[in-house]
Amino acid sequence: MNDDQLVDRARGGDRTSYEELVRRWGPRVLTFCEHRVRRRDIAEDISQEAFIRGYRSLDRLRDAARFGAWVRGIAELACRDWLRSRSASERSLSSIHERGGDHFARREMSLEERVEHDDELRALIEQVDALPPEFRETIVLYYTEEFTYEELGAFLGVSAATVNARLTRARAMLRKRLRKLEG
Amino acid sequence: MTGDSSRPHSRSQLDAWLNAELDGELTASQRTSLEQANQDVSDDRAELRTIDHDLRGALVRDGDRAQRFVDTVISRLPAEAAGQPPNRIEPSLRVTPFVLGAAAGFVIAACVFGPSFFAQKRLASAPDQPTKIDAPSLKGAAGRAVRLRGKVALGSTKSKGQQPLTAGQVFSESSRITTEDNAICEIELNNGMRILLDRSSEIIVRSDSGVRHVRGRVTVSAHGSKGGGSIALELAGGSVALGTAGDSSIEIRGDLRGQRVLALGGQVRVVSNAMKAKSREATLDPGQAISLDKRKGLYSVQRAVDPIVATSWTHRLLDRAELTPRIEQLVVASNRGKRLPAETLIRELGPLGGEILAGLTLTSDRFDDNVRGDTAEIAAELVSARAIPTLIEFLEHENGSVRASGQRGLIRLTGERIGGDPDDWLNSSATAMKTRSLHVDQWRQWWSENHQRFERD
Repeated sequence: MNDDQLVDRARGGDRTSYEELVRRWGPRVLTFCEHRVRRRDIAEDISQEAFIRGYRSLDRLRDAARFGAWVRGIAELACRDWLRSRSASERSLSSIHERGGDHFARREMSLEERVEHDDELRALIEQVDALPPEFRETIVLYYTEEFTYEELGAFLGVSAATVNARLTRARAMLRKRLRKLEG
Repeated sequence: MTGDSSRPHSRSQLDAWLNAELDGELTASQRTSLEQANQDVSDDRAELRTIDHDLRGALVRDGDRAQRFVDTVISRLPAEAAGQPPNRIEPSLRVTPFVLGAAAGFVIAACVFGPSFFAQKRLASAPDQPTKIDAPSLKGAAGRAVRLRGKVALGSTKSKGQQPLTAGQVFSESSRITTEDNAICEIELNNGMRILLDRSSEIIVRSDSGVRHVRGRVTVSAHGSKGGGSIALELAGGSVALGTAGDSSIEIRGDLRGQRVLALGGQVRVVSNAMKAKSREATLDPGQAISLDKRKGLYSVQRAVDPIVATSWTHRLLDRAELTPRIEQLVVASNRGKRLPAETLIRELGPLGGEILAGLTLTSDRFDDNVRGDTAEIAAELVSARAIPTLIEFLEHENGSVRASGQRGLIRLTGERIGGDPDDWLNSSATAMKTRSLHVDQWRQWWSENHQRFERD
């Protein structure tokens, strides 16, 4: 069922439809917030509130097909407010992505290979962490949430071409930095 | 081929060079450049594929956490239909002289300030511009939905011509205070201000440290010079747990027959206004509880929990409103005589919930020591390093099995062996107690030196 159908049903009093929207968009909005505020706990609070506010004001959503972007917008403003209200003590992505890693590939590796693999991943995550915010956000959402260009563009409120440009630029920066590290 | 570029820089230029090469028009240096460009494209593609592969491996969604998040949001969705204002529920408080007096105050205010106060209020400003609200405008909002936008300060500033709120003044009854869209609502209780809420009332305050959620049948007042926040949980099963942060106190009044009130932080003043009984009043210090007789409204005050510990976990709960309903479930289940209903429930509570649950079972007299022991172990096994400070508190518990569970949990969570074998903590002899207090100090010292490492989790 499409988002707009779910929104229509939720407006008509079908709570389970809204729950489906939460399942569909909740993790994505959470990831978005995490990379905005860079605090897991705050990101969870803000994302939860965004969905609850969204529920209460669902009748104000004009384009039901853009539910994800709408909730993301609610969350983004709350993130901004939070960032403005205090100097956020930034956390690195490595703490957010502590579970990162290709577990199946890892299982096949020797101990030495695993250590090397983990070091490489850590270095990569550190470099992603150091990207400018819009590039970091785009690349993390693209890989973590498995969006297409079109979907990610709609979610972030930019065009698919902009997503492509950001990913291209982000990868170029990563390549450059990783090359430098490798010396 | 003539051309001053040393390398092809665009698709069309590359095509031109390829054609020129085919036609034998490239110079030797151009041929070398073209070969280099082709090689670079091939290398670039391989390098990009490697980065893409690595990113796919490094940036993965934590599925368990995502699921927990979704479950929490769903459990917090309001009961009303989407896009609808909250259902109005009849207040559970009886009409007391206090409320009648306040109502009379509204009537007088209406006469003095004019009928405009009784129109629907919509107090809005740009998101970044704080909405200043004075006492009279809130009085006019009694019984209505008030929508606030931006930062909100409930003030009583004489210099701006606002009528100061006086102690005992009720400005909002059956009301809902919320924020519009994305604004953050901040409510500051100034000296002498009072808010009366009933079952249908709800205040959500987002603070730097999270969301504070007040719901239920309470009167909240702030008497400190600096004011402060407060929480109130109406626990299913006829209990109300109250706690404050800062220099504040809480007052609960109404027909409290059959209720049990527990003060978790700050002073709690209890006034029972049962219609057929004399008004009864009591002031509870942190850690005290009061039970009100079902028929006569008589009560007895008991010490229920350790005030210091109670306050410490109350403050943590203040920051994690989403845990409240689940803790309520736990309390309900324990009322039915079930022994920790709830390994699954604890799992659902997640890391911080486990910490709070450990605090709750340590401090509340609703739980027996078996439950405390189980909680310590489960918290250590399933939860996180957040439980460490509470587990250290377990070490000082009078019951040996609780102490042993705390020690077992600490060893499991930290990998440290301070204090030795958990079974040694069962011993209650004076010598053992003396040795243990040294170990407790060592644990505390260790935590103060290492907490930053764990708090990164």
